[in-house]
Amino acid sequence: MNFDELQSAWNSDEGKDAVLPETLQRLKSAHMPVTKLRKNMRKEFIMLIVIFSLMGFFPLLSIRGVPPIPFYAMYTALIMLTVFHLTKFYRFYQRLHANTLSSKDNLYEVYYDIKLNIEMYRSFNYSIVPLIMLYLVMIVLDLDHFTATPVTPHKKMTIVISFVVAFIVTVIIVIVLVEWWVSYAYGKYQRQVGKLLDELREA
Amino acid sequence: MATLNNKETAFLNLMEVHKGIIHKISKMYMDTPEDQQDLFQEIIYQLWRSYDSFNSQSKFSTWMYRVALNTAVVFFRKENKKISSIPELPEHIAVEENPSVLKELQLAHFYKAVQKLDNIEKALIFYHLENYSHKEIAANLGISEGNTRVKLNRAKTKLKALIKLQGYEF
Repeated sequence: MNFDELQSAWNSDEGKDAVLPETLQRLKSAHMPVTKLRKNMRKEFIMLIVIFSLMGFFPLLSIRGVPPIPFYAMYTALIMLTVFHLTKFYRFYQRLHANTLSSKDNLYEVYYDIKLNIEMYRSFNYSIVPLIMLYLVMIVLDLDHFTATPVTPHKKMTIVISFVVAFIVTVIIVIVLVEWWVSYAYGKYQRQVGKLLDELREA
Repeated sequence: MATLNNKETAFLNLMEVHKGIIHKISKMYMDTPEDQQDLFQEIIYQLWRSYDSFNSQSKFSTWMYRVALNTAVVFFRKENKKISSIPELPEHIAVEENPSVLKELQLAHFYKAVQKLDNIEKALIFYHLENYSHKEIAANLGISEGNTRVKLNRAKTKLKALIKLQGYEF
């Protein structure tokens, strides 16, 4: 066989086995990187909404150390942040991506769409950290809620240091978890498209 | 509603004419019938979604190839799916006397070998088989003509070696 013969065989292949869908209305995109990203993030956000809704009832459990005012202040800020980010994600996904560009331009568009999406996801997760800090500060300022007897200055210092250490550890855990999850769940799409762009580089 | 139906009918008529080429792209990019079917459906969906951007002044096939290949290049196969075995190549029956069997055999070797090329190399081979010039391929891929020439030659050499590796003379 040579390329002329291959071309002749190629031209003779009419693809008669191909079956068109009966209707276009039920067709859905399921395998494109941005679609997959959207699908995964939608699942996460649904889970988050359920968790946040349940969290609202937390002070009703009357656990010592969970004063309701700082909690609801933090909770309101958390809800506002979530709504803000969800709106941004929704607008982003509503934007129609044109795939009639040249392959290189199309890949760049997909690549930056994924990158932007991941950065938005990161910023959402990291924006929760200052809220945790604020919440802890509010609790520290209101330490009497913890104990039945007044807190001595020495004990107060120990509690403050414990909170600071707990906060630092939490921040490190959040960063490690977010970065790991982004790389595991979403980074693979970015890497694959990046690899395709590399294939298009000048030889 | 009537306009949408007319548009859908017109689109489906065009797809009926061109479905063969979409099927061939699916076979170049995916190795199992299930993945080929998924890619085929995805391409149809993407073409339908972009149909408004088609300018009737230009050639439909040119516009279609671009959307179809842009879809195929970034298509993700289903994860954790049990990979079904690739159909065996036909045995060396008396192909010389039967040209259609010979072509079938050649295509079977081609599709098996082309799976091992990179996604961009597959696009280059596709355009080459569709008789596109270097200039046209370069414009569709968004790279320079010189780069197209180099990459196409490399892809052809690679394809040739892969077919030879299957024990078929090329």
